[in-house]
Amino acid sequence: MKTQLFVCFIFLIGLSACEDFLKIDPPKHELSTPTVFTSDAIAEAAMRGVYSELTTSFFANGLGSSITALGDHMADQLYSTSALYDPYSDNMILPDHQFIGQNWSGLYEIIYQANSVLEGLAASTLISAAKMEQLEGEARFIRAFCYFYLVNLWGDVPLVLTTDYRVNSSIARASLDLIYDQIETDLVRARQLLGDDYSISGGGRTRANRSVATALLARMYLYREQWAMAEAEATKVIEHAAYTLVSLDQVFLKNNTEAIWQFYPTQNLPFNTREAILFLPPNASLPPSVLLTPELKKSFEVGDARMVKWVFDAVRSGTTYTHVNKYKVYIGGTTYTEYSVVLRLAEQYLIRAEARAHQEKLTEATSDLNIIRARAGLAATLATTRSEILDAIIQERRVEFFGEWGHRWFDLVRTDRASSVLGTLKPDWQEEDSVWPVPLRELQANPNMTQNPGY
Amino acid sequence: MNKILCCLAALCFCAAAQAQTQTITGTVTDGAMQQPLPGVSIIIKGTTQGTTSDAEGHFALQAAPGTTLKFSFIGYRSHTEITSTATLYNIVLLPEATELEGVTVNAGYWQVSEKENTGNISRVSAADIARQPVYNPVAALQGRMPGVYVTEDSGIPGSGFDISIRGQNSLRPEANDPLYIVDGVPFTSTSLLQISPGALRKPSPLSILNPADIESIEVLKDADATAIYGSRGANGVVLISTKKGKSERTNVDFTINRGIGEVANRMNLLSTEQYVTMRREALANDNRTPSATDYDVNGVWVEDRYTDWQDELFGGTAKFTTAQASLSGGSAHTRFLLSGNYNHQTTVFPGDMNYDKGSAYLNISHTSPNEKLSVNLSANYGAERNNLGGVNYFDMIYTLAPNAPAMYNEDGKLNWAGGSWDNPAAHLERKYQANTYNLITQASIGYMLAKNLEVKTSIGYNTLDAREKVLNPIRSLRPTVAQVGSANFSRSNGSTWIAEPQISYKAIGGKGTLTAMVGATFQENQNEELRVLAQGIENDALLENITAAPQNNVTAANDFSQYRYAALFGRINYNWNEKYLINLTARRDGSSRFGPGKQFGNFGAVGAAWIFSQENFLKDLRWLSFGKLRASYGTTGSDQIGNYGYLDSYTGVTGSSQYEGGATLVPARLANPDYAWESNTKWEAALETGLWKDRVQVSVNHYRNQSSNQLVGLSLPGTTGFTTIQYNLNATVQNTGWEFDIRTVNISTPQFTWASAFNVSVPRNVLVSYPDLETSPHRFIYRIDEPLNVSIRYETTGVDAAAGLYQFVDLDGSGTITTADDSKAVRMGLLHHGGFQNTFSYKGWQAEIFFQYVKKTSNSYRSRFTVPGQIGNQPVEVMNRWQQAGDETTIQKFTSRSGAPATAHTRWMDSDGAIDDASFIRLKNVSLSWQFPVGWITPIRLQSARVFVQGRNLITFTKFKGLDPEGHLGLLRMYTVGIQVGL
Repeated sequence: MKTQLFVCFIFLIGLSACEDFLKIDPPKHELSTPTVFTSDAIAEAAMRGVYSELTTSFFANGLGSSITALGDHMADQLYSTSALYDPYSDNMILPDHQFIGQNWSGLYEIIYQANSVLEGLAASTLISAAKMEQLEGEARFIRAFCYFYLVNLWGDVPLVLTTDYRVNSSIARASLDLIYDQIETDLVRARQLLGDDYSISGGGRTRANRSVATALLARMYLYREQWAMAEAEATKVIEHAAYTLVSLDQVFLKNNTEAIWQFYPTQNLPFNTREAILFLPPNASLPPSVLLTPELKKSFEVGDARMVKWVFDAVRSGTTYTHVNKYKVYIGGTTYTEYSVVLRLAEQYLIRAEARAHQEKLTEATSDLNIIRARAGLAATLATTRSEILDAIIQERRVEFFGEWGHRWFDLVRTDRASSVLGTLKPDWQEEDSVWPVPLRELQANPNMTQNPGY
Repeated sequence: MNKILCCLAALCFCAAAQAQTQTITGTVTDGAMQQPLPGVSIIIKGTTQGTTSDAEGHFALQAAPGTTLKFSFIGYRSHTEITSTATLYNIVLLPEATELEGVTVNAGYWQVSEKENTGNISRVSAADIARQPVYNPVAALQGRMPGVYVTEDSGIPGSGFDISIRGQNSLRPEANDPLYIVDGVPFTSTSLLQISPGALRKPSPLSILNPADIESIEVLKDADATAIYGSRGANGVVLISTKKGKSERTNVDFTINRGIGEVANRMNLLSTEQYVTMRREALANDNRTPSATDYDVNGVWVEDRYTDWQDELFGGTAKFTTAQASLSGGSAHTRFLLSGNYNHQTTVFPGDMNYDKGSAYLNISHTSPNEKLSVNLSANYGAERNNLGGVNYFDMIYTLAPNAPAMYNEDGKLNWAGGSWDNPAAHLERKYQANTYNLITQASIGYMLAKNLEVKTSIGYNTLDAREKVLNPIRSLRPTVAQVGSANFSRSNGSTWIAEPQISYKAIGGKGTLTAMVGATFQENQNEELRVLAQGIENDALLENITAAPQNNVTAANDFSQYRYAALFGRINYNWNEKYLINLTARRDGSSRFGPGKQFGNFGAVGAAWIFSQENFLKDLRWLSFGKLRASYGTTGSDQIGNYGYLDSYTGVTGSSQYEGGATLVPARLANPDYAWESNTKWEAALETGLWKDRVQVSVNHYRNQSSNQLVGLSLPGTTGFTTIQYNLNATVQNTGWEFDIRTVNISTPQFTWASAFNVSVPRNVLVSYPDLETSPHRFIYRIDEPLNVSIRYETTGVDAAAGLYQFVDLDGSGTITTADDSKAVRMGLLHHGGFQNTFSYKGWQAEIFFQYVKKTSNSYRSRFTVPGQIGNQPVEVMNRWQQAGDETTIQKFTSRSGAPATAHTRWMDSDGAIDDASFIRLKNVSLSWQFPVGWITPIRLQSARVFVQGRNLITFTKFKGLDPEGHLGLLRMYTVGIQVGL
């Protein structure tokens, strides 16, 4: 009997002790999510996390899987000596190609983080009003930026606005219009919330501000063919005192005045920008692997200074390799002189030119176009009719933005030129190739996901 | 538990012994050698009183007539003798061949005789381990236990072993590790090495243990044996018990052995001529001329150069040296064992790669003169060092062309051939060093509160430290990358403490014996790590100096995790007349790996046995010496998931990822606060028999284990922002199987013994249920009613004679072959496996011949190679390729680039055509030893001397054409010779 009592006693002590014993603290190197949004400084760190994720993502990092590399291969701008890009150069992309999945997941990962910041801010009572506005503006801008590329690469995609995996794991695709409405809402709100200068990043043009949101809004209206709106937004940026065109040598330098938004360099030490790693030859004896197509080379007008300043002929063992030479510093050691440019003023001029041409403001359109031509040392355009001017603008965009963010690909697709231009160059071209296949993994993991036609 | 038995027995015999003791004397001799046996332990059964035979085998002690004396000596069958009024006894001990009744197995919290065990426990003894040239305790189990399937990753020192006890229970392949317990302290199954590059793909933390210090390894398999381990017992439990001091006599023992090893097999790969033919044909097929990157045929490389890369990369000879010394002794109440071990191994790879380990082990046990207090202390310290380099050369063979350039220029520098290749020798310049230190300490203190009540507490502490460093000097870098060096440092520590207070009680009433025990477990594990990566170092001489790296090129990060576990457990065992046995076990477990409200789980089992040979109606059957029917049923669980999965939190990113150089936080994980224990129900029935005085022992087991409430990392679409989430899935996985174990003593004469042991396991694994599998991400991996290692594949019809491409069946009827046709379920993997052991002893000679066999299928060995026609060597069989319309072949045409032929090849590798029979029969172990006759060694004052030769992986019979059917990497064929001397 004594024994039994003793045993019971031990059991009772054990039971009550166990509950307390199992309470453990969060790991010392982590912060619980509610704690993150209890102070301006920590919430700011979470926002920097969104930028960090974006700049290191497969989509935006400027390396082989990024839209900068893939967009120009899919169009008629670049080709490669490596078989890596064959599916993109040939427009024969399979749903299980790694880059497709990496871009899709990468973009949605950034969206998750932006949503997490937005939810955290909404639930917080301890963040100052000014910080709240700034962070909400930035998170909304980055979410819009990601959706802009998602719809333009895949068409209809799921519109994810929460962090709840139970919703997001079986979410169906939303219509293009619905997503564009959300992009517009986010950008308009961001424009209201964000500051006018770059003071939050100490003058560096590495964080979203009002003009950054406005510039993307101008581009979005252009893609949506809302010409007057596109013109109005572009004008705001063009007329803003902080932005001026700079000489061709300076366009890709850190914090130059043409830059509207640049990436702070992350994870690319000891290099300066990852675009330089992608395009420049690694040393004096090896050739570069990503090269300008003969078509792009031919499309430069005689005397175009960009052919001199932004293109380089590397000669290796008697063979000439023509490569993009916009970012010039391969290894920069400990100091950075170049930052990766995301949005710049030249685009705003060409957005406005195109928007004006569509509104029959042909003189104003050619004037905007000629500003960009003049900077490249070219005479005024000879185009006079609306369609000639529009063709000239598309051509100007081609030689201005090669090697940057896949502009040419999106231009061909949005202006319905893809089939006529690429159909003659690429034997396997099909109409359906203008959108990417949905990654195989998404179809496998999400019962409500559907594939794009033709894949 | 046995302490209680001892005490009880001592009390009972006390009175009788005191009445009429007399001095009895005698000699113990070795039945085989016909020589006196020194050091034999002679114990009056039921007491701790006894003596040890002297150098001439003589003994003397006081005992009354009718006393039972137990003679035991390691490596020999123990012998019991009931004394009469005679005073002279000459005892012959026979070498241990088979033994049922006398074997005591360690069940973890208690000891049980194999005869009275109600559960399923397999055992490998020190003698079995000593016969094998192994450096990791797990290796000693290979093929020797039914239901335990061990595979070796590769023949690289320190590399890992996969152990699967009765199949895969969890849908997550990484969550099927058994629980390892070393002397009562849980031991990690995952390595602490953080940055371990290439060479050691799966470092095994257990390799730090010295096999020679191990007394036995027990594997607990069924519910009766494992339920006492509750949540951690689902995948079985491996108990490693270290040696204890045994006799009062002071023994000193030295062993030294040396050996060599080489990769047992080579693949039949293309010659340069064949290779160039392949490449040119591939380019022609694609209408291409060699491009700037087709270095092998565009003139950059010498086209007709030939290197046998298999010889070059793993054709060397590995050398092994082991030295071991031990000292043991003590008194009747205090015993000790002290041992030290040093092991040095080199590899078959080029360059100077070494693996060294050393360990020291101390065990002290003490019993108070009144037998009430017993204390056991052990401490085991091990240190391991490896510099195995940055790459696993077994993996490199698949991408190298036979005409790839020479590794070195004439001036002795690395030959980069203009940066056109990944020079294997560059990896020799990248220095890697890992040091691991491990301390396991354990103490248990027991006290008899009353004659039938003992309290006991065992306390254990284990700490494992790992330090690693990887140096990538500029001279090792391909000229195409930035010419700056980098250094990566890591330190990690994992520690575990455990405290287990227990009370046990024993009552004897009539013919029945009741044993009961309750206990509690408190355990905490902490892991901490620190990593520093310094990049951008411009001078190789400064590589180990972090301050030489530019400040913004230094990345530091730390990690911390904590795990706590608490449990209450109990056992009630009733033994009626050594005929009917019932064993009840239960455990309530709590784990910090689960969120609030989900932390506790209950587990338990019932086991019963009927020793029918004890029934009167069977006692007359002369041929039946032993017969037992037993069955068990119970539940166990698994919490083998990461810590903190329920916690929604942010974590920092490392230096160079920080945006604008400020603190940068990102979400740590997708949290799920609602997941709980995975549960596992085990059922088993077995028949164990001993025939003709146990000359033949047969046991047959049948089991059925079902795992449900599966803890899985649910694969999520990218739209969730993450790829997986921790989740309980209501799926059930069932493992059933038959296990047969037959042991025979074929010949047993005093001079010559031949014994055999044969085990066969026939496991079957099936996914019983999985709600909504059709819509889940797992539908491309699993099928209901199929084993978990089912493979979902294309169905191929072979090579189309017209087009020369692999053809597939349009399974979804869509008219074209798409990923939707990747839908045929093909059963793969293990069908059955077993081992066949023969041991012989003749006078001073002892020998073992051990075969292992496995019947299984695996991915084609060709799947490791690139697409035939692209840069990279191929097996010779690809030359039977399709060349022109009408060719009937099994290999499609060569291709040099991505495109339709490459896609067809990739699909074929994922088809039912690309499956190899990877069955094998292997002469796994051979050992021969010879004991010097006493007459030779006594004059030089030795107690014993033995020389031995051992071989491992000597011959493999298989149809598999890759390096090795077991793990697809090369295993070593090893030979060692050694000598053991006892002073």
